[in-house]
Amino acid sequence: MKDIIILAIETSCDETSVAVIKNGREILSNVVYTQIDLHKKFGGVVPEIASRKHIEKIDLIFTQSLEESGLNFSDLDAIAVTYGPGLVGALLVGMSYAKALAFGLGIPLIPVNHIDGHIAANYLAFPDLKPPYIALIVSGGHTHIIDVLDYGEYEVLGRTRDDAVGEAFDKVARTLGFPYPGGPYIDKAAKDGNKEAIKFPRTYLEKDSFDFSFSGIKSAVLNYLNSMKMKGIEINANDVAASFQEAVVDVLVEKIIKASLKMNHKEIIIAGGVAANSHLRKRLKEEAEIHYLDVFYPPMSLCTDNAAMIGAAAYYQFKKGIFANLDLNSVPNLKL
Amino acid sequence: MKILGIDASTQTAGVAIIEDEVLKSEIVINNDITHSQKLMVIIDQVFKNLDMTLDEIDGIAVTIGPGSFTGVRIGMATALGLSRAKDIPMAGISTLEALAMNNKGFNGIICPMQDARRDQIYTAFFKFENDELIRLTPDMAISIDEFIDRIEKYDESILLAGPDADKFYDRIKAMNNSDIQLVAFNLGIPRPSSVAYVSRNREFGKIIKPNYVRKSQAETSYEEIHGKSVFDD
Ligand SMILES: [Zn+2]
Repeated sequence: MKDIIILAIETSCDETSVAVIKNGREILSNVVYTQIDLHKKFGGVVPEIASRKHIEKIDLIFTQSLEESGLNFSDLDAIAVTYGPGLVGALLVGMSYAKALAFGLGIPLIPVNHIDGHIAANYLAFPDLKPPYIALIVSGGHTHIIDVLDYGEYEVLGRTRDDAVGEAFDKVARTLGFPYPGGPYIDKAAKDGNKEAIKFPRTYLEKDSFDFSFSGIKSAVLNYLNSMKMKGIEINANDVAASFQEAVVDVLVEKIIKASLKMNHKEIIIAGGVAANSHLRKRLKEEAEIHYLDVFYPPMSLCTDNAAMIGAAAYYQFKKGIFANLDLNSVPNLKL
Repeated sequence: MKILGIDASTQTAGVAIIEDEVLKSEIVINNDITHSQKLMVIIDQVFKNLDMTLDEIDGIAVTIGPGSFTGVRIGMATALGLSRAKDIPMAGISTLEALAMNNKGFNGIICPMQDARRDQIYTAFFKFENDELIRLTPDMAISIDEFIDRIEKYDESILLAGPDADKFYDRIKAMNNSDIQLVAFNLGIPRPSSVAYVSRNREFGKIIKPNYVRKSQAETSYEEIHGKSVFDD
């Protein structure tokens, strides 16, 4: 069978990325330009600045990625692009560029849901992984438990009702004085802290619900910090980080294990930026082993936003003939 | 020489193909549609109108602002993608300059203006000399009061041009006693044919840069607080 080569573009937030993917599983190139150092200075992503950086870099990153892949235009079977969810101005840069490229080259345009990409990141890391399985998507924008029935076919079992888990990490990190994005700093600080030091609440919601709520624990941490300040007691940031992280991971692990047992799937994948959290990885692995479940998570480089994962997801759409017309629009609040 | 002109920098979106000094086809859409949805569709349509393909295009001219930040980027990203696919050189054109070009034949100072909000307009002054468009000022964001001060220095007729000229016409006319005229209804919006036409004596290349004129709000606040640019290390 002829190889299918897809060039994928991702600009949904603060990474400008272009990748070339073979048969949905093999990375020929994956160039990621991250603007993170710029947004750090603001303590979060500034949409207008992100968009300005995307338009400045997109053509350069494209050229570099195609060059690294060692291929030519004539080798490409399709152009894939993230069309949501994400920051609208940022999405529009990648999408307008992708549409024009596909039109100019006379090849199909594949519209990819960013979350679908995070799931598909695992196909790049694990060549034998196939649906069905349970997926936990955890990032700054999303907290989902998904029953992955087939490639690109999902049933959402649960989602956050307020903050995304990554958002909670970032907010707590900020109050502890860590730089943006705070997730990795919490992870690091927690390693030197006592996770039993402070008892933060775990929100499980209704029995049998796979939904999440992280606003309670976020406020609990803020309240704790305030009351310590009022009493003039110096806090131990490592202990706060460890206790907060433990509480969040408790809920995530319990729900994902429950969901996979309920759906009778043997495999769990985790994806999204928070999948890089070392404590989540360790705890989930331990808990899964008890129940004879296998856990997969992509390497760090594929956890954060990148175009390779978009190219992996696009491959399965290519096979089904799911293409976009020239009037495709970006959908900032696109659902899975 | 066939040039594809593209504009998405204001509320209208437009595409045209000119060949030397002949306009072959032009489409302009002026309603509330999102440019991201329609721009590529009308590019396709203009080619279909002429039974032409992108391969026949020698250069792409695109507006780079000032205007809507997002619109500027949609036009530019589209031009970049087309240019890359067929290795066609590009020229970035000031939206204000393209707006001035719409009024070829006017004898006096042409002042395209766009509402830049925060009590300012994007504007620049132009005039035609021997049929050539001459730029008298750089593109700028200034207040209406400053605009009035500036036009008072000219003895010639003044044409208020651009998409938002009618919004400010009465106020400017009331405060200034020189000859102030208002642009014709169909010449106040950017015309992609004018964008392509302006590019005739430009150098085409592989790189285009946006002409936002204004920094982003976040950038400005950062500078006020830190006394240096966010792009400095
Ligand atoms: Zn993401």
